[in-house]
Amino acid sequence: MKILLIDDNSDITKMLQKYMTIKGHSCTIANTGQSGLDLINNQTFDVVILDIAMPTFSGNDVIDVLHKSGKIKNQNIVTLTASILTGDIESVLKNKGVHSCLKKPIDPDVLLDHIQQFGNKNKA
Amino acid sequence: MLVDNNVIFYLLIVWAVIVTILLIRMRQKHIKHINELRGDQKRQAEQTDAKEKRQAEQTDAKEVSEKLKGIAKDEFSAMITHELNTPLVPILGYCKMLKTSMLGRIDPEQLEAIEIIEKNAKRLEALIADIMDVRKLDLNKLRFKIDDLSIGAFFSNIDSDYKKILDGKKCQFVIDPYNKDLVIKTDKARLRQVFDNLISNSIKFVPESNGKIEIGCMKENGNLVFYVKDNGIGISQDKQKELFQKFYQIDTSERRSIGGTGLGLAISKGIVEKLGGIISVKSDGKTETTFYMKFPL
Repeated sequence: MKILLIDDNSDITKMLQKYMTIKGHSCTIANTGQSGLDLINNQTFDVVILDIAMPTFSGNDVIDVLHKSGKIKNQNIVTLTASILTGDIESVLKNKGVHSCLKKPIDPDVLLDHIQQFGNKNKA
Repeated sequence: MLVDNNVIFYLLIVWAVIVTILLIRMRQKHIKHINELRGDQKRQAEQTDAKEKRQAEQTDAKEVSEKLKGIAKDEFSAMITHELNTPLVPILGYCKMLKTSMLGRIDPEQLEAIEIIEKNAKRLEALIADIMDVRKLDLNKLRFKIDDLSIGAFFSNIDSDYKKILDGKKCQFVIDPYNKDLVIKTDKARLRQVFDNLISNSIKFVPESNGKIEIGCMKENGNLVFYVKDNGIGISQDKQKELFQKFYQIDTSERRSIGGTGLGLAISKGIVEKLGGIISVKSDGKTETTFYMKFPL
Protein backbone atom coordinates (compact mmCIF):
# COMPACT_ATOMS: atom_id res chain seq x y z
CA MET A 1 0.00 0.00 0.00
CA LYS A 2 1.22 3.51 -0.81
CA ILE A 3 0.72 5.76 2.21
CA LEU A 4 1.34 9.48 2.63
CA LEU A 5 1.75 10.68 6.20
CA ILE A 6 1.39 14.41 6.86
CA ASP A 7 2.25 15.48 10.41
CA ASP A 8 4.46 18.27 11.76
CA ASN A 9 5.68 16.07 14.63
CA SER A 10 8.74 14.28 13.23
CA ASP A 11 8.85 11.75 16.10
CA ILE A 12 5.38 10.59 15.09
CA THR A 13 6.12 10.44 11.35
CA LYS A 14 9.42 8.63 11.95
CA MET A 15 7.76 6.04 14.20
CA LEU A 16 4.80 5.41 11.90
CA GLN A 17 7.00 5.32 8.79
CA LYS A 18 9.17 2.67 10.44
CA TYR A 19 6.11 0.70 11.51
CA MET A 20 4.42 0.83 8.10
CA THR A 21 7.67 -0.01 6.29
CA ILE A 22 8.29 -3.08 8.47
CA LYS A 23 4.69 -4.13 7.79
CA GLY A 24 5.50 -4.00 4.07
CA HIS A 25 3.97 -0.69 3.01
CA SER A 26 5.53 2.32 1.32
CA CYS A 27 5.18 5.37 3.54
CA THR A 28 6.09 8.87 2.35
CA ILE A 29 6.44 11.63 4.92
CA ALA A 30 5.56 15.33 4.76
CA ASN A 31 6.23 17.45 7.84
CA THR A 32 4.24 20.48 6.64
CA GLY A 33 0.76 20.84 5.21
CA GLN A 34 2.06 22.58 2.09
CA SER A 35 4.65 19.92 1.23
CA GLY A 36 1.98 17.27 1.80
CA LEU A 37 -0.40 19.06 -0.56
CA ASP A 38 2.34 19.28 -3.22
CA LEU A 39 2.89 15.52 -2.96
CA ILE A 40 -0.86 14.80 -3.27
CA ASN A 41 -1.01 17.03 -6.36
CA ASN A 42 1.86 15.21 -8.05
CA GLN A 43 1.46 11.59 -6.99
CA THR A 44 -1.24 9.07 -6.20
CA PHE A 45 -1.51 7.48 -2.78
CA ASP A 46 -3.80 4.68 -1.61
CA VAL A 47 -4.38 6.67 1.55
CA VAL A 48 -3.29 9.95 3.12
CA ILE A 49 -3.01 10.11 6.92
CA LEU A 50 -3.40 13.77 7.76
CA ASP A 51 -2.74 15.60 11.03
CA ILE A 52 -5.12 18.51 11.61
CA ALA A 53 -3.26 20.87 13.95
CA MET A 54 -0.15 22.02 12.06
CA PRO A 55 1.39 25.51 12.02
CA THR A 56 1.02 27.87 9.00
CA PHE A 57 -0.81 25.43 6.74
CA SER A 58 -3.04 23.11 8.73
CA GLY A 59 -4.72 19.85 7.85
CA ASN A 60 -7.97 21.82 7.46
CA ASP A 61 -6.24 24.02 4.87
CA VAL A 62 -5.06 20.93 2.96
CA ILE A 63 -8.63 19.58 2.96
CA ASP A 64 -10.08 22.93 1.86
CA VAL A 65 -7.72 23.16 -1.12
CA LEU A 66 -8.39 19.56 -2.16
CA HIS A 67 -12.13 20.07 -1.68
CA LYS A 68 -12.19 23.22 -3.84
CA SER A 69 -10.14 21.64 -6.62
CA GLY A 70 -12.33 18.52 -6.49
CA LYS A 71 -9.25 16.37 -6.07
CA ILE A 72 -10.51 15.04 -2.75
CA LYS A 73 -12.97 12.83 -4.65
CA ASN A 74 -10.07 10.68 -5.87
CA GLN A 75 -8.04 10.64 -2.68
CA ASN A 76 -8.73 8.60 0.46
CA ILE A 77 -8.00 10.77 3.47
CA VAL A 78 -7.99 9.75 7.11
CA THR A 79 -7.46 12.54 9.63
CA LEU A 80 -5.56 11.94 12.83
CA THR A 81 -5.78 14.48 15.62
CA ALA A 82 -4.87 14.80 19.27
CA SER A 83 -7.42 17.56 19.88
CA ILE A 84 -10.96 17.09 21.07
CA LEU A 85 -12.94 16.30 17.95
CA THR A 86 -16.54 17.29 18.39
CA GLY A 87 -19.25 15.72 16.29
CA ASP A 88 -19.70 19.04 14.47
CA ILE A 89 -16.09 19.23 13.27
CA GLU A 90 -16.16 15.58 12.28
CA SER A 91 -19.26 16.00 10.14
CA VAL A 92 -17.80 19.12 8.47
CA LEU A 93 -14.65 17.18 7.57
CA LYS A 94 -16.67 14.23 6.29
CA ASN A 95 -18.91 16.49 4.23
CA LYS A 96 -15.79 17.82 2.54
CA GLY A 97 -14.80 14.30 1.55
CA VAL A 98 -12.67 13.01 4.42
CA HIS A 99 -13.19 9.26 4.83
CA SER A 100 -12.73 8.96 8.59
CA CYS A 101 -11.46 10.84 11.63
CA LEU A 102 -9.18 9.05 14.08
CA LYS A 103 -7.92 10.13 17.48
CA LYS A 104 -4.38 10.33 18.83
CA PRO A 105 -2.86 8.50 20.57
CA ILE A 106 -3.57 5.55 18.32
CA ASP A 107 -2.19 2.05 18.44
CA PRO A 108 -0.29 1.60 15.13
CA ASP A 109 -1.95 -1.83 14.78
CA VAL A 110 -5.38 -0.20 14.97
CA LEU A 111 -4.35 2.47 12.46
CA LEU A 112 -3.04 -0.11 10.00
CA ASP A 113 -6.18 -2.25 10.44
CA HIS A 114 -8.26 0.79 9.65
CA ILE A 115 -6.39 1.82 6.51
CA GLN A 116 -6.06 -1.72 5.10
CA GLN A 117 -9.49 -1.15 3.49
CA PHE A 118 -7.87 1.27 1.04
CA GLY A 119 -5.27 -1.22 -0.20
CA ASN A 120 -5.54 -1.88 -3.94
CA LYS A 121 -8.91 -0.20 -3.99
CA ASN A 122 -9.87 3.09 -5.53
CA LYS A 123 -12.04 5.54 -3.69
CA ALA A 124 -15.68 4.58 -4.03
CA MET B 1 12.28 112.94 -9.24
CA LEU B 2 11.70 110.98 -12.23
CA VAL B 3 10.91 107.38 -11.63
CA ASP B 4 10.78 105.04 -14.44
CA ASN B 5 7.23 103.76 -15.02
CA ASN B 6 8.68 100.34 -15.55
CA VAL B 7 10.26 100.30 -12.11
CA ILE B 8 6.90 101.15 -10.48
CA PHE B 9 5.26 98.48 -12.52
CA TYR B 10 7.81 95.88 -11.42
CA LEU B 11 7.57 96.98 -7.76
CA LEU B 12 3.80 96.59 -7.96
CA ILE B 13 4.14 93.12 -9.36
CA VAL B 14 6.64 92.10 -6.62
CA TRP B 15 4.30 93.52 -3.96
CA ALA B 16 1.34 91.70 -5.48
CA VAL B 17 3.30 88.46 -5.48
CA ILE B 18 4.36 88.90 -1.83
CA VAL B 19 0.78 89.68 -0.77
CA THR B 20 -0.52 86.67 -2.70
CA ILE B 21 2.04 84.38 -1.04
CA LEU B 22 1.14 85.76 2.40
CA LEU B 23 -2.55 85.31 1.67
CA ILE B 24 -2.05 81.75 0.50
CA ARG B 25 -0.03 80.97 3.64
CA MET B 26 -2.68 82.50 5.88
CA ARG B 27 -5.36 80.51 4.13
CA GLN B 28 -3.39 77.31 4.51
CA LYS B 29 -2.96 78.00 8.23
CA HIS B 30 -6.65 78.71 8.50
CA ILE B 31 -7.59 75.48 6.72
CA LYS B 32 -5.23 73.55 8.95
CA HIS B 33 -6.77 75.10 12.02
CA ILE B 34 -10.27 74.34 10.82
CA ASN B 35 -9.28 70.78 10.07
CA GLU B 36 -7.81 70.43 13.51
CA LEU B 37 -11.01 71.71 15.02
CA ARG B 38 -13.04 69.37 12.86
CA GLY B 39 -10.75 66.50 13.89
CA ASP B 40 -11.30 67.32 17.50
CA GLN B 41 -15.04 67.35 16.97
CA LYS B 42 -14.85 64.07 15.10
CA ARG B 43 -12.75 62.50 17.83
CA GLN B 44 -15.14 63.82 20.41
CA ALA B 45 -18.02 62.35 18.44
CA GLU B 46 -16.18 59.07 18.13
CA GLN B 47 -15.49 59.07 21.82
CA THR B 48 -19.13 59.72 22.56
CA ASP B 49 -20.10 56.92 20.18
CA ALA B 50 -17.67 54.56 21.82
CA LYS B 51 -18.94 55.54 25.23
CA GLU B 52 -22.50 54.88 24.18
CA LYS B 53 -21.44 51.62 22.61
CA ARG B 54 -19.64 50.64 25.78
CA GLN B 55 -22.68 51.43 27.82
CA ALA B 56 -24.80 49.38 25.46
CA GLU B 57 -22.33 46.55 25.65
CA GLN B 58 -22.26 46.72 29.40
CA THR B 59 -25.95 45.94 29.54
CA ASP B 60 -25.25 42.40 28.38
CA ALA B 61 -21.61 42.37 29.47
CA LYS B 62 -22.25 39.54 31.86
CA GLU B 63 -23.63 37.35 29.12
CA VAL B 64 -20.72 38.15 26.81
CA SER B 65 -18.11 37.53 29.47
CA GLU B 66 -19.73 34.21 30.31
CA LYS B 67 -19.60 33.30 26.63
CA LEU B 68 -15.96 34.36 26.34
CA LYS B 69 -15.11 32.37 29.43
CA GLY B 70 -16.71 29.36 27.80
CA ILE B 71 -14.72 29.85 24.60
CA ALA B 72 -11.48 30.38 26.52
CA LYS B 73 -12.12 27.25 28.59
CA ASP B 74 -12.94 25.38 25.41
CA GLU B 75 -9.76 26.47 23.64
CA PHE B 76 -7.75 25.76 26.74
CA SER B 77 -9.17 22.24 26.94
CA ALA B 78 -8.50 21.63 23.25
CA MET B 79 -4.93 22.88 23.56
CA ILE B 80 -4.19 20.89 26.70
CA THR B 81 -5.62 17.69 25.22
CA HIS B 82 -3.55 18.19 22.09
CA GLU B 83 -0.33 18.92 23.95
CA LEU B 84 -0.76 16.03 26.41
CA ASN B 85 -1.87 13.45 23.88
CA THR B 86 0.71 14.16 21.18
CA PRO B 87 3.81 12.85 23.04
CA LEU B 88 1.92 9.65 23.84
CA VAL B 89 1.76 8.73 20.14
CA PRO B 90 5.48 7.94 19.67
CA ILE B 91 5.80 6.58 23.25
CA LEU B 92 3.00 4.04 22.81
CA GLY B 93 3.95 3.38 19.17
CA TYR B 94 7.55 2.49 19.97
CA CYS B 95 6.44 0.42 22.99
CA LYS B 96 4.30 -1.63 20.64
CA MET B 97 7.11 -2.06 18.12
CA LEU B 98 9.68 -3.00 20.77
CA LYS B 99 7.26 -5.36 22.50
CA THR B 100 6.46 -7.24 19.32
CA SER B 101 10.18 -7.50 18.42
CA MET B 102 9.67 -5.38 15.32
CA LEU B 103 12.90 -3.53 16.10
CA GLY B 104 14.89 -6.63 16.98
CA ARG B 105 14.68 -9.39 19.52
CA ILE B 106 14.42 -8.34 23.19
CA ASP B 107 15.07 -10.35 26.33
CA PRO B 108 12.46 -10.90 29.10
CA GLU B 109 13.93 -8.20 31.33
CA GLN B 110 13.72 -5.62 28.55
CA LEU B 111 10.19 -6.77 27.76
CA GLU B 112 9.18 -6.22 31.38
CA ALA B 113 10.63 -2.69 31.30
CA ILE B 114 8.79 -1.87 28.07
CA GLU B 115 5.53 -3.23 29.45
CA ILE B 116 5.88 -1.01 32.52
CA ILE B 117 6.49 2.04 30.28
CA GLU B 118 3.47 1.11 28.18
CA LYS B 119 1.21 0.50 31.19
CA ASN B 120 2.08 3.91 32.62
CA ALA B 121 1.68 5.71 29.30
CA LYS B 122 -1.77 4.13 29.03
CA ARG B 123 -2.55 5.33 32.54
CA LEU B 124 -1.65 8.84 31.46
CA GLU B 125 -3.88 8.45 28.42
CA ALA B 126 -6.80 7.40 30.64
CA LEU B 127 -6.11 10.27 33.02
CA ILE B 128 -6.17 12.82 30.18
CA ALA B 129 -9.45 11.33 28.94
CA ASP B 130 -10.90 11.59 32.48
CA ILE B 131 -9.81 15.21 32.89
CA MET B 132 -11.36 16.06 29.54
CA ASP B 133 -14.61 14.33 30.50
CA VAL B 134 -14.75 16.39 33.70
CA ARG B 135 -14.21 19.61 31.75
CA LYS B 136 -16.79 18.63 29.16
CA LEU B 137 -19.28 17.86 31.91
CA ASP B 138 -18.54 21.27 33.50
CA LEU B 139 -19.05 23.03 30.16
CA ASN B 140 -22.09 20.91 29.40
CA LYS B 141 -20.39 19.64 26.25
CA LEU B 142 -20.23 15.93 26.90
CA ARG B 143 -22.05 14.31 24.00
CA PHE B 144 -24.44 11.42 24.34
CA LYS B 145 -25.60 8.97 21.74
CA ILE B 146 -28.91 7.53 22.83
CA ASP B 147 -29.70 4.18 21.28
CA ASP B 148 -31.35 0.84 22.02
CA LEU B 149 -29.43 -1.10 24.63
CA SER B 150 -30.00 -4.79 25.16
CA ILE B 151 -29.45 -5.56 28.83
CA GLY B 152 -28.43 -9.14 28.04
CA ALA B 153 -25.74 -8.13 25.53
CA PHE B 154 -24.53 -5.29 27.74
CA PHE B 155 -23.84 -7.57 30.71
CA SER B 156 -22.44 -10.42 28.67
CA ASN B 157 -19.85 -7.98 27.19
CA ILE B 158 -18.87 -6.85 30.69
CA ASP B 159 -18.71 -10.49 31.77
CA SER B 160 -16.28 -11.54 29.04
CA ASP B 161 -14.08 -8.43 29.42
CA TYR B 162 -13.73 -8.73 33.20
CA LYS B 163 -13.33 -12.51 33.19
CA LYS B 164 -10.03 -11.85 31.39
CA ILE B 165 -8.96 -9.07 33.79
CA LEU B 166 -9.89 -11.01 36.93
CA ASP B 167 -8.36 -14.21 35.61
CA GLY B 168 -5.89 -15.53 38.19
CA LYS B 169 -7.24 -13.32 40.98
CA LYS B 170 -9.19 -14.84 43.79
CA CYS B 171 -12.27 -12.76 43.13
CA GLN B 172 -15.78 -13.94 42.36
CA PHE B 173 -17.57 -12.03 39.63
CA VAL B 174 -21.33 -12.46 39.74
CA ILE B 175 -23.70 -11.00 37.18
CA ASP B 176 -27.48 -10.87 37.46
CA PRO B 177 -28.93 -9.13 34.41
CA TYR B 178 -32.52 -9.41 35.80
CA ASN B 179 -34.06 -9.70 32.31
CA LYS B 180 -31.80 -10.44 29.38
CA ASP B 181 -34.47 -9.52 26.86
CA LEU B 182 -35.04 -6.07 28.26
CA VAL B 183 -34.15 -3.23 25.87
CA ILE B 184 -33.76 0.32 27.16
CA LYS B 185 -32.87 3.66 25.58
CA THR B 186 -29.54 4.98 26.79
CA ASP B 187 -25.94 5.75 25.78
CA LYS B 188 -24.29 2.35 25.76
CA ALA B 189 -20.67 3.59 25.82
CA ARG B 190 -21.27 6.09 28.62
CA LEU B 191 -23.18 3.60 30.77
CA ARG B 192 -20.32 1.16 30.24
CA GLN B 193 -17.90 3.91 31.29
CA VAL B 194 -19.80 4.22 34.59
CA PHE B 195 -19.69 0.45 35.15
CA ASP B 196 -15.95 0.40 34.31
CA ASN B 197 -15.30 3.13 36.87
CA LEU B 198 -17.29 1.36 39.57
CA ILE B 199 -15.97 -2.14 38.85
CA SER B 200 -12.34 -0.95 38.74
CA ASN B 201 -12.91 0.75 42.10
CA SER B 202 -14.31 -2.49 43.50
CA ILE B 203 -11.33 -4.46 42.19
CA LYS B 204 -9.02 -2.07 44.06
CA PHE B 205 -10.79 -2.55 47.38
CA VAL B 206 -11.85 -6.22 47.55
CA PRO B 207 -9.75 -8.48 49.79
CA GLU B 208 -6.95 -10.37 48.08
CA SER B 209 -8.58 -13.68 48.79
CA ASN B 210 -12.36 -14.26 48.84
CA GLY B 211 -13.10 -11.05 46.94
CA LYS B 212 -16.60 -10.79 45.53
CA ILE B 213 -18.06 -8.33 43.04
CA GLU B 214 -21.72 -8.50 42.09
CA ILE B 215 -23.23 -6.45 39.30
CA GLY B 216 -26.59 -6.39 37.63
CA CYS B 217 -29.93 -4.62 37.56
CA MET B 218 -33.38 -4.90 39.09
CA LYS B 219 -36.80 -3.32 38.80
CA GLU B 220 -37.95 -1.18 41.70
CA ASN B 221 -41.02 1.11 41.85
CA GLY B 222 -41.07 1.73 38.12
CA ASN B 223 -37.34 2.35 38.01
CA LEU B 224 -34.56 0.26 36.57
CA VAL B 225 -31.76 0.11 39.13
CA PHE B 226 -28.26 -0.95 38.11
CA TYR B 227 -25.86 -1.89 40.87
CA VAL B 228 -22.23 -2.70 41.56
CA LYS B 229 -21.61 -4.37 44.91
CA ASP B 230 -18.34 -5.48 46.48
CA ASN B 231 -17.10 -6.96 49.75
CA GLY B 232 -14.28 -4.43 50.05
CA ILE B 233 -13.36 -2.21 52.97
CA GLY B 234 -16.63 -0.25 52.95
CA ILE B 235 -17.16 3.50 53.09
CA SER B 236 -18.06 5.29 56.33
CA GLN B 237 -21.19 7.46 56.50
CA ASP B 238 -19.38 10.83 56.56
CA LYS B 239 -17.14 9.90 53.64
CA GLN B 240 -20.10 8.80 51.53
CA LYS B 241 -21.25 12.42 51.19
CA GLU B 242 -17.97 13.64 49.72
CA LEU B 243 -17.40 10.61 47.56
CA PHE B 244 -18.71 12.07 44.31
CA GLN B 245 -16.63 15.24 44.48
CA LYS B 246 -13.84 15.78 41.98
CA PHE B 247 -10.38 14.55 42.96
CA TYR B 248 -11.81 13.03 46.11
CA GLN B 249 -9.82 10.16 47.53
CA ILE B 250 -10.86 8.55 50.78
CA ASP B 251 -7.28 8.02 51.84
CA THR B 252 -5.39 11.19 51.01
CA SER B 253 -2.23 10.24 52.87
CA GLU B 254 0.95 10.05 50.88
CA ARG B 255 1.27 6.42 51.80
CA ARG B 256 -2.05 5.46 50.29
CA SER B 257 -1.72 2.22 48.42
CA ILE B 258 -4.71 2.63 46.14
CA GLY B 259 -4.09 4.54 42.92
CA GLY B 260 -6.58 6.41 40.77
CA THR B 261 -7.33 9.94 39.76
CA GLY B 262 -10.26 10.56 42.06
CA LEU B 263 -12.26 11.59 39.01
CA GLY B 264 -14.06 8.35 38.23
CA LEU B 265 -16.95 8.83 40.63
CA ALA B 266 -17.42 12.52 39.78
CA ILE B 267 -17.59 11.58 36.08
CA SER B 268 -19.93 8.67 36.83
CA LYS B 269 -22.27 10.95 38.76
CA GLY B 270 -22.22 13.50 35.90
CA ILE B 271 -22.97 10.85 33.29
CA VAL B 272 -25.75 9.16 35.26
CA GLU B 273 -27.44 12.53 35.87
CA LYS B 274 -27.15 13.54 32.20
CA LEU B 275 -28.75 10.24 31.29
CA GLY B 276 -31.66 11.13 33.57
CA GLY B 277 -30.73 8.96 36.53
CA ILE B 278 -29.54 9.21 40.11
CA ILE B 279 -26.41 7.62 41.52
CA SER B 280 -26.15 6.72 45.20
CA VAL B 281 -24.03 4.63 47.53
CA LYS B 282 -24.83 2.36 50.45
CA SER B 283 -22.25 0.90 52.76
CA ASP B 284 -21.98 -0.52 56.24
CA GLY B 285 -18.60 1.21 56.52
CA LYS B 286 -16.78 -2.07 57.13
CA THR B 287 -17.26 -4.94 54.78
CA GLU B 288 -19.37 -4.00 51.81
CA THR B 289 -20.31 -1.18 49.44
CA THR B 290 -23.03 -0.97 46.83
CA PHE B 291 -23.41 1.73 44.19
CA TYR B 292 -26.89 2.19 42.71
CA MET B 293 -27.83 3.90 39.45
CA LYS B 294 -31.54 4.48 39.26
CA PHE B 295 -33.24 5.29 35.93
CA PRO B 296 -36.97 5.79 35.44
CA LEU B 297 -38.37 3.20 33.04
